[in-house]
Amino acid sequence: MNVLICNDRAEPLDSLIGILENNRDVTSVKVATNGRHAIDALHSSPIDISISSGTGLDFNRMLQRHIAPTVAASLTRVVATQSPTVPLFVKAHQFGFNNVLPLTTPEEKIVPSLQRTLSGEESIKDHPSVKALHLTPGALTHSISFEDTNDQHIVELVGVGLSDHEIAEALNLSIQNVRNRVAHSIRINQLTNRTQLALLQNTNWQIPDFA
Amino acid sequence: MSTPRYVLLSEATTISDYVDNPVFTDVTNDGETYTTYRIVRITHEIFEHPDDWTHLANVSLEFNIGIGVAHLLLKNKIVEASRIKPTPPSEIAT
Repeated sequence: MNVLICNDRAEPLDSLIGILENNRDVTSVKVATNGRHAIDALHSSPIDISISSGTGLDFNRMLQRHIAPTVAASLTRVVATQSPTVPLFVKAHQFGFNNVLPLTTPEEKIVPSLQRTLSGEESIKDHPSVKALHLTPGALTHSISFEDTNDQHIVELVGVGLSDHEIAEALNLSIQNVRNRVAHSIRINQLTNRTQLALLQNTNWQIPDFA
Repeated sequence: MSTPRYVLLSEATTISDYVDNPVFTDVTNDGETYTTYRIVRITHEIFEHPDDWTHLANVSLEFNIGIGVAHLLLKNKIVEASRIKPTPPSEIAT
């Protein structure tokens, strides 16, 4: 098992790194301290599992968009945290993470848990706080897409908190047209409601390239 | 309060006489859920409805299987508001 640890200053995973480095079932442990390191590590050699801290959740979602689709598809993603709260489980689920590893897990059970996650035997979907909610896993993982620039303008205004009537007035469109287009954007982005559309629009981050 | 009057429209009536676009989206759950329908036929004109509905129509889901009856508020050939009563799937002959 090849592991990449995205080590976050706010919630360092140093103890986990030590445990994994000393385990014979773990072939390699790479440690990334920033986004560029993580992207380079994922592209340079095969990584089975990437582990982020709870505070690195949003960053890790953004990172997912910057790696090759083939790499992203084969990567199992885990959140390791000292405080596995229900909101963290739900957020990780919506961001498409495969599991949450509480750092209170006994040392000898950490690697077996990661192995079960890798094989699909253990998943965040089976956690009681997530299972009961019938959410769409990974709903907020992908980048937002638009049919055309008109739809983009409408969704941008949804993202800044305007109602459909206000959007219709601002863009000089009929309310029927605005609702049809909002519905269309919800559908093509595989979302279920307007709040998700606004969130996806507002978190449609890209790493700026100043080079 | 006056009782609303429903006036049956002729079957020869065309939808384009009433709306520019027969496809409209109904918004439910406090503005969260968007469901797109197509007007199949406008059956009645409504007068003096306390909720301001102006027309009654048969509708079908645009991207799924399902039919229903819609109260519509039509203004300037635009669907300004709607309230749909979906027909339960068990009542649709298969």
